[in-house]
Amino acid sequence: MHANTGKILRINLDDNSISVFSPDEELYKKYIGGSGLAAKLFYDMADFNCPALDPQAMLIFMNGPLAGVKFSGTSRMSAAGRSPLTNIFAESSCGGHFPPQLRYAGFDGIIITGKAAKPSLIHITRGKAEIVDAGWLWGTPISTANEKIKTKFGTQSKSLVIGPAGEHLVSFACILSNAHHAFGRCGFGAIMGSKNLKAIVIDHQNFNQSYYDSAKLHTLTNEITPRIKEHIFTQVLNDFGSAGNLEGHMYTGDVPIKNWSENFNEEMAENLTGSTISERYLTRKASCAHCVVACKRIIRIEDSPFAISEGPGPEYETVAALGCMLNSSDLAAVCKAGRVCNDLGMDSISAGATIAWAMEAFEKGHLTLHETDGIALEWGDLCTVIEKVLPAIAARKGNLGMLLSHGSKKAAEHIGNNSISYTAQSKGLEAPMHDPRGGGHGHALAYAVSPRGACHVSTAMHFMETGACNYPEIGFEFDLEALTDEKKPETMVLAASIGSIENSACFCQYADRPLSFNEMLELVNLSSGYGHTLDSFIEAGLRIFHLKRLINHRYGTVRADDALTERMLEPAREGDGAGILINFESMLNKFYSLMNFDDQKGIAKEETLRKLDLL
Amino acid sequence: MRNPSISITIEGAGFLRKKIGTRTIVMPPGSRVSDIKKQFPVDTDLRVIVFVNRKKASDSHALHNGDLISIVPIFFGG
Repeated sequence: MHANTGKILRINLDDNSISVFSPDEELYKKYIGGSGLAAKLFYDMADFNCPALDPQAMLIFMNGPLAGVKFSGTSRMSAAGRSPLTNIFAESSCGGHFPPQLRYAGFDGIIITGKAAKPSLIHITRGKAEIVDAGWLWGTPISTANEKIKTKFGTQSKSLVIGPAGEHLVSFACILSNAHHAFGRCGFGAIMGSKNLKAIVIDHQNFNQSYYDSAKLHTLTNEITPRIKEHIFTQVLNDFGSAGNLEGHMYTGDVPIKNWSENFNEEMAENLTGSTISERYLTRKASCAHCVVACKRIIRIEDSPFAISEGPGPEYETVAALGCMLNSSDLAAVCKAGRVCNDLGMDSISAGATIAWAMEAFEKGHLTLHETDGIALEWGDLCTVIEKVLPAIAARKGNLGMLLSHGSKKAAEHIGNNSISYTAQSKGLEAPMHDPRGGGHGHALAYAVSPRGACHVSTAMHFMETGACNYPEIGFEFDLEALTDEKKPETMVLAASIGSIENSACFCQYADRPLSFNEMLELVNLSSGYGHTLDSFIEAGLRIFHLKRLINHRYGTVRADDALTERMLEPAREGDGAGILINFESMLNKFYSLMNFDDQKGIAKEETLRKLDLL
Repeated sequence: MRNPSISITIEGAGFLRKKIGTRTIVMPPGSRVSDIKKQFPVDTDLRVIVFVNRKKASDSHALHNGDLISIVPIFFGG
């Protein structure tokens, strides 16, 4: 086996048993690795009657074949499980430095079941693992836990850590790697918390990986790297971070403001865009392992009521979710809210979107001071969000903290008044900060059919619709007009496969944009020796997408769940998309037909499943 | 009588704000959005949309005296 180690750690926290499991080698090729392999193992091994936060619930971390390769955008890994937020299949992707270290330690992934008797952490070193007490970490915010871990295990150790929100089982609690890189979505922090698992720590490992064709891989990565470095996308991400074009997005109506009720605010655009972050607060840039893009921000804010020490700065999603969605143009406050959210260990997208929904509910009188514990939820009041609301959610404290800790969908179902109509979510997962009504109608289809719920990265539609990639090798060589449904279902079929490939090979969707599709294929083949052809690679992507839909169907999802809320589909009130209706049902029907989905069940019909070897 | 030239303001938006800045330029009468694009070429890998007075405009859109032209890069999000 090349690139992969063929070894997966299996840890049962009930009895502290640790073993090594080796999946059939053929599975690696068929499911590529990362998200795809994790989904396959989950499908084969998980108990589908097991609630998300049950001790027996399965939590999987999985590398792709490229983790460890010294090349930009390859230091990512996937997590899989059942989401406490959506109750369906959960997946999340995280960058940083942990993935290659796990690979160099000799493992492709980790499968965790059971619940430790007391707060614990998993400590991994070369070829082995141990479960040790983590009482000394329990209750600490993520930044503190990260520092303590470095003190105990060395400054070069790499960690996955949960914060107080994960310990308190907040449905959208996240996991942070080295206090900066997040398994943000779907509530993986709560899954770890439910297992009394505070952290996974890996000692520093030296490079240790063999490839199918090292010489050719080396030549290829050397050839591509300068192109990545010089590409306009890299320059923007490096100079201004992922929020580098927030202002540009706002012109097109892509940025949801004030809980998706507005689309343009000039002051907000200028204040919150990435160049402003860089000019005012950037102290240095950071990157995932081996990456020349270096899109991560390190910031410090002084002389402000929202002063923060030097540390991780916000991504685009965080700026939009805790700024634009809450109708704030105060950049320092937004950065501080992001830092607090990180430290408490919560997904900033779900946190921001849920609070935005609560602010609108409060404005409409659907939430009263009784339900908010006397806290007035006013638009733009980030002081209250930082000091009261985020801590209450993380601690699941009081009426408000408890209500919002379950996310916007469950909170809306709880208070009624048709307040679900102004949530922005699909399948219970709050939508990311790209509004299809301005950003592109294909996003709407992608949000509805993405296996984990509203998501812009599990498929490649977002990147294809914004013209960030072009793949003539596989028939995608046309520009898409954002505000129509033209060619969107057809593109979505390819997008489903490409997104699955990216998340399974664990390519970064920023760094891989300058790559041709053939180059992606070659990188995977030269490292792993899979020997995929273009056709079999695309088929593997589709297999993975269909498999995740099968998993969800086992959890009870059907076509009716491929839906967006009224707020997401009502015409935008301003901007380029004002007054334009998204032809949503038509796109969905066409996509169903192209994917050979059963009209009721929302999964592929038998012949397609057989063709993909899923039956 | 000869048509007077038109004076328009150009601004870069998003990450083009620094590169293009904000400036007022004089264009010949009958100028269109496509003429602006020729004057402010951007990276070939980048798609841009031109807004005239905050409304999206096609290449053939005719420019008028006093127009505010925003050159907006299209870029994927975070």
